[in-house]
Amino acid sequence: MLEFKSVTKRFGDIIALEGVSFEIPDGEFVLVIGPSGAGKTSILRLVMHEFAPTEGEIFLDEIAIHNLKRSQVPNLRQQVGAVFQDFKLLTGHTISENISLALAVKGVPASEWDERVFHVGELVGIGDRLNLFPSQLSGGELQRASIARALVTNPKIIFADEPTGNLDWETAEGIMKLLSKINEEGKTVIVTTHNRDIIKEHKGRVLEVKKGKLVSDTNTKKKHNEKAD
Amino acid sequence: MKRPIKTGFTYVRRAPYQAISVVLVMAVTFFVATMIGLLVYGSTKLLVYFETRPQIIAFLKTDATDAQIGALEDTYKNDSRVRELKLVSKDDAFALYKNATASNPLLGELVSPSIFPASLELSVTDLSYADTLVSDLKVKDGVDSVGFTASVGGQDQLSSVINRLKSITKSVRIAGIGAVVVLLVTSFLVLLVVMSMRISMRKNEIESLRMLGATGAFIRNPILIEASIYAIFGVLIGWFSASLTIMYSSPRLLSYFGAIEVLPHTLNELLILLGIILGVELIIGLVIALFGAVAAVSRSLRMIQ
Repeated sequence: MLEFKSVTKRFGDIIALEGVSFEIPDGEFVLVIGPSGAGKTSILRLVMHEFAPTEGEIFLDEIAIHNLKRSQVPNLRQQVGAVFQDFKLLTGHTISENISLALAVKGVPASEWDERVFHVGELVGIGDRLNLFPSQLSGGELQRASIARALVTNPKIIFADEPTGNLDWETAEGIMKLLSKINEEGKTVIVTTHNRDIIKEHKGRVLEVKKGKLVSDTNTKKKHNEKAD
Repeated sequence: MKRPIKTGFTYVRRAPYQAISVVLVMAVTFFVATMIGLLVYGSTKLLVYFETRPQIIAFLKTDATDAQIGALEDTYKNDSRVRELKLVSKDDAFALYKNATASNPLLGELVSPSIFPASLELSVTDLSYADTLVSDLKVKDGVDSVGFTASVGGQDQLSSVINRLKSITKSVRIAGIGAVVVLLVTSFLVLLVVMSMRISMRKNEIESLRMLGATGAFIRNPILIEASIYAIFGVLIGWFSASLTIMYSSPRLLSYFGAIEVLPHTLNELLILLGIILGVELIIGLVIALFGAVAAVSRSLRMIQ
């Protein structure tokens, strides 16, 4: 479970987040929405402990992220599968090597790499692209590779920051379906986006952030089910 | 450890020109360092040769008793001014004479050991003690006359030769160490600049690794191995070139200096000396490379949280 308790983050006079509180139980699919500069990415960066909150507490299961020592940060990051808008794939390595890197970082024995890489490659639909370099793939395929890299270490939570930001609607829809599929298999998935079409299509929990504040926490799935009843 | 080594070699292969420039700068440094190491060795041997030669010879009376000779030996063996003491008996002196006149055996036939005086040969720890030692010896029982080694002239000449050698050796050491230090600092700076460039080229890669949860060691180790590869190749090329040069010129050097061992006389001893120099250079090279790489990578890791 991911829990934010009255989290505030200031950069000098600029307030990135102010008094944000929420709980995300295991297995949930949550959209974090809001305009650019609202503080969506700050939530991810706080979860990844790129910086500590100015006030408040953050917990990922038993890990008190707000109190984390520098030496404990790698261990935290190994438990969060992060997906970025700009993919952050290494250009000099093949897709297979990029995915394996996450396994190497986690200390998984090299003998297991091929099998696990092939498995996630097939899962995200790029099984036939594993030996290509990032420059040889389309935007959608690169994002799938990035998701495969996040998934391969079997993290507790997948956090995708604007994963469809650079993609056309059709490809973006495919990525969202893939993330839904991953969520259906039991993973907690958190996606930040400002894409209205994605928000409209999403059936589930939505956290809306504006000017650093959490302004709404709704569950469209519940509403949908209530209407259906 | 397999992954960092493999990654380190991959990094070297990816930018061969930068790698070649660092290796060449280090090779020049260690070529000069090897040559200066050998020069310091040779000049030290030269100095030791002159310093340890018998500088004072006390010729004993032909009727000097064994007890008198024994007493003299005991006195000067324990004297802190004396570095080495050697008794040359009448028979030894006769043998020396025979050796010296080997080309004309008749000269050896005409004399007997009894006409040769036994002598005590002394070398002093410092030439300033020579005067007082000579005066002391002259009044001892059983001593006939006292003098300086003839082959290098009198006391003034010997003193002047040794002082000049000391001054040359000191200058060689200071200039050599100065040159090596300047070259080592240059190598360190070149390595630091190149490693910083390489790391800034890999900024995105390091950032991605950080996000995946890579520890500092995971990111740092391949970079340290890359720097170590530069150091090892630089040292080996520099040392090998200097060793070839010295092996090529050693017959001429040895024949010029004759009995003075400015270089080891046997190949085995020369290889041992070169091996010691290589070991020291590898340690210095690795220390420089690791310091340079750690300085470059720590700065970059601090910037990328």
